[in-house]
Amino acid sequence: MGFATLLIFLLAILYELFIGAFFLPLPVSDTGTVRYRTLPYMTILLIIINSLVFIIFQAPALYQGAQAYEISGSTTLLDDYIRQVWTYGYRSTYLREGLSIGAFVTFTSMFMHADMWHLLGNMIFLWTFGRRLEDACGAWRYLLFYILAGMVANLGSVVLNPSPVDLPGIGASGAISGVMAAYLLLFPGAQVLCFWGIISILRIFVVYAAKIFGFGGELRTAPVWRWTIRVPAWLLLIYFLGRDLLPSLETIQQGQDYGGVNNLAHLTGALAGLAVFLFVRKDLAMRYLTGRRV
Amino acid sequence: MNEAQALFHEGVMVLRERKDVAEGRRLLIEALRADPNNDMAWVWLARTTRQPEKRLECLDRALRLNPTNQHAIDMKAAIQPIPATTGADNQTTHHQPTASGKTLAHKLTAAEERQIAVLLKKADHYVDTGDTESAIEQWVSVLHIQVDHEEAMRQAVSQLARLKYLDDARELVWRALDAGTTHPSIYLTAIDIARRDGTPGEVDDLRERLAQLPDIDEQTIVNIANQFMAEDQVMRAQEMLEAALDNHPNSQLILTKIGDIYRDLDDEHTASRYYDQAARIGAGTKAGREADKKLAEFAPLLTDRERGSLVLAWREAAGFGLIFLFLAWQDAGLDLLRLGPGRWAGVLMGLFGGYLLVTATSSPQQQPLARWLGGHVPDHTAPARERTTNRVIEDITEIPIIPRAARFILGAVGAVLLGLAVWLVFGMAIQLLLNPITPTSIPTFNDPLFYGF
Repeated sequence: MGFATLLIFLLAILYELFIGAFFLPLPVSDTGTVRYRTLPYMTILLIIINSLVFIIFQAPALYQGAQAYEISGSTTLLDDYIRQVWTYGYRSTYLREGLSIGAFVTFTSMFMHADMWHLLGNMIFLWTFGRRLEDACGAWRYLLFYILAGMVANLGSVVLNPSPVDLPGIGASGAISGVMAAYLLLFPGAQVLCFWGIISILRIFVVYAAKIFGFGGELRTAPVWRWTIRVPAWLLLIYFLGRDLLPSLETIQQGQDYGGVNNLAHLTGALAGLAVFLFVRKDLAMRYLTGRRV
Repeated sequence: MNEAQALFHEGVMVLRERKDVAEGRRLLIEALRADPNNDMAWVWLARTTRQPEKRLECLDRALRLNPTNQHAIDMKAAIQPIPATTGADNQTTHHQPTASGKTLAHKLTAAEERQIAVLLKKADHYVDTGDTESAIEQWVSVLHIQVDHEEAMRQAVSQLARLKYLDDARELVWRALDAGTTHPSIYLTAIDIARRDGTPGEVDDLRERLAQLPDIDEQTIVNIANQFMAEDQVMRAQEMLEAALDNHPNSQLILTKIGDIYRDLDDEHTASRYYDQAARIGAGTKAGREADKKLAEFAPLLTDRERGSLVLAWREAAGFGLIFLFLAWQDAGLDLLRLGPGRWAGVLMGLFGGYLLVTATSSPQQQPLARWLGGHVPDHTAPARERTTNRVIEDITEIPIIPRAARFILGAVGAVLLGLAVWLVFGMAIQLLLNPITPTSIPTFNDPLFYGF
């Protein structure tokens, strides 16, 4: 892959990010203070592992395979990529019948991703919500919680899905949904910085109106353009859970036998967020129980 | 005139003319060191302190030296409860209110209450007719009956001050103070007068006494502290607030203010302790939320209760147990009924191994376990580790900690148990990892694929 190709590839990702975050909020950072440590090394480590697994293990087969397919119509490399996903993705068949690497797929699947966009989106969410949760739990307890949430998401996605089509599930988003839910449980009053193009643009008009007509207090002196918008954490929770709820109910009722986003895994992963109280630091648990801010 | 007398006279002059209580007190103490038998020096010394018990001590010394010292008798009578009306002193004029009122402990009789009501009504009448001096006479009469009647005091002092009879106003107020009034308003008036007199020592003394009144509200105490701080008397503000905690042990406002002072003094450790104490009282109030917000600026405090809690340690261990249960569930082909005794044993082993690991690492002070294992209370005198933003504040702990060697053993045993537990709950997966069975039904690019999440 030459430099120009890489540049085009990165620009394409940025373009997708821009489009993706135009109408809907894309959380990029939390605004809360951390109390214990400033370097979230476990979150960084998880991002590195996820990225390395994709870049070293999956990306060559996927992108070179796609290139080969475009040039010559060969599907050999793409078939390799598919084999990876089907061997190490989460399938109930492997657990029930003792195939592939059995229940170890619960670990391999949560570190694999379908493509760069899938990886990037998940890692942005992990970075946004994981740092403060790691601070609240401590690095190792945070890792245990992350794995628990990923396992629950995997389990939920197959146990509650009545479809006989046992498609493999991959991705970190089940675990990250647990991280998000835990974050919102612990810091319900937090504000999250989001890329949200349409709101940033609408804000320009509001700021100008405030400057001209003299209303809005601080808005009058605020900069006209802001890349990020502060969004209350609870609002994001409603949005993300709401987005997953109906498709998940549909899956539970009718089964999901097609590919795409596994909303049920997101939802069950989020439910695992409740278990965070077993993993947060003891003083934080006590502070939470007594109604004080965490 | 010998040295003792010279010091005594100078002290009295300083008190009378310069109103400098601190300096006057110093000179009187010097005089009494030189001649402890000067009964008047003891009487004057009594005037330099506002604490009734200390005043009584001085007056008793004076009366032991001279039982007929009328000043000492009068002052003592003003401090101690008097069972009957004094009747000893009668007022002379409105600007010489020398008569002593009743003490505060005396409960007014119905007749006295009626008399006060009549006098206040008369005073109102005189005010309406513009006869201020007669009105003052009525208020002073009220103060004869009840030495710290708030309304009469307020009116009398305000009018006396307006007519420039400041000495008389001062005397009314001081008499109430001497009698041990607990009305904050009278202290505030006295502080105003002392400030006008330019006697900062007396102002400070009065503020401190005011802050220790049982009926004073927390906000006033904090305001007083702010006044001290505005005058760069930070330590005095701190001492006053800490003393006020005796009467207001659960005042979030005061606790937070003390925290603020320590924070300003760069003692974040102590500051966070006060914030934490305030926040623990409850986060439902504005002051509680404020304390908690400020606490969030620091690394949190780990209390001995949390350090020593068995429940909190088992809570963490339960996290391990849960993970092992989910592992076992998956290894058993997603069928909980197929877990079997081996995997259940693995789950329990995971729980117990997790507990041992937690005990060795994050909860080494569980009680009574730490004591049973020969733990000792960490040395308080050892140099404190400096706090960084990366660590929970290391508070002084009063509970024993498991010895390092025992912790190492517990941790090692816990790790071994966790390893065994993994082998038990994930046995099939481990076998498959070592000898994977390649699935035969993997599709190709043209087949319906996978879905990622």
